[in-house]
Amino acid sequence: MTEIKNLLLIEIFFDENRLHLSVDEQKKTEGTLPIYFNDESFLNDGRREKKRKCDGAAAARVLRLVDEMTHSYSLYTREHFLYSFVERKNTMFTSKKALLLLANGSEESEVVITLDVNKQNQLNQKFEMIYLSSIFGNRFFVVRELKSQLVQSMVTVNH
Amino acid sequence: MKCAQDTVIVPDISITEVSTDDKFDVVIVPGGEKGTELMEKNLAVGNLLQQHYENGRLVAAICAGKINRNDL
Repeated sequence: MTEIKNLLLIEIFFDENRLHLSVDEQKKTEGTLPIYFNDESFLNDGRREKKRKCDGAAAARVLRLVDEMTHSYSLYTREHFLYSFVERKNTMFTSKKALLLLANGSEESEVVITLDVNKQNQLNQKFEMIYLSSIFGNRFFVVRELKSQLVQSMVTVNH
Repeated sequence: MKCAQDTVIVPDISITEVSTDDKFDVVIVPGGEKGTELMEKNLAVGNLLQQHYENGRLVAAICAGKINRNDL
């Protein structure tokens, strides 16, 4: 088991069979990669397993992309804001106060990466858990920041 | 708290300690079927997400997390 002390939030969204990854405030969307599915088929049928395999392939490509962007990323994490993209207009959204809901069984690989963000040299080595994500409706977003600076509270809902 | 891949995370607070007066710029709901099911059954989570959304704030759900409030 891993005990997390520092959290780094990373979100990737896919939209119209394209995978997007936010890395740069100015460019807004640094990378766009093709993927093989959309999120409509995720639950309820046999395509789920296939989708998961696709997730892995796409995630591998994202990993390479993230690797190339490490410099931008490490600069980015020094900012004390959480950046999101809202809807398809790619409108920049800046949040100072976020709430991350977690329960027993929550998929931590979608929201956390275990690394010490104070050690910049770890940023090259620790991008091991990056998954596709989606937002319901037409809202899409990208999230990345330090828990200590951004996510005001992690909340457990197990009662 | 034990996540889907056995990562242990100690939350800062419980959902019962979140005040309805708390205003967040974004509330994030991660995926994970088991965790999502637990949240789905939790009235406080439902109220929080609904209220947050109705106030025009951002609600972000990842993967299976979106089944929490598919009606939003």
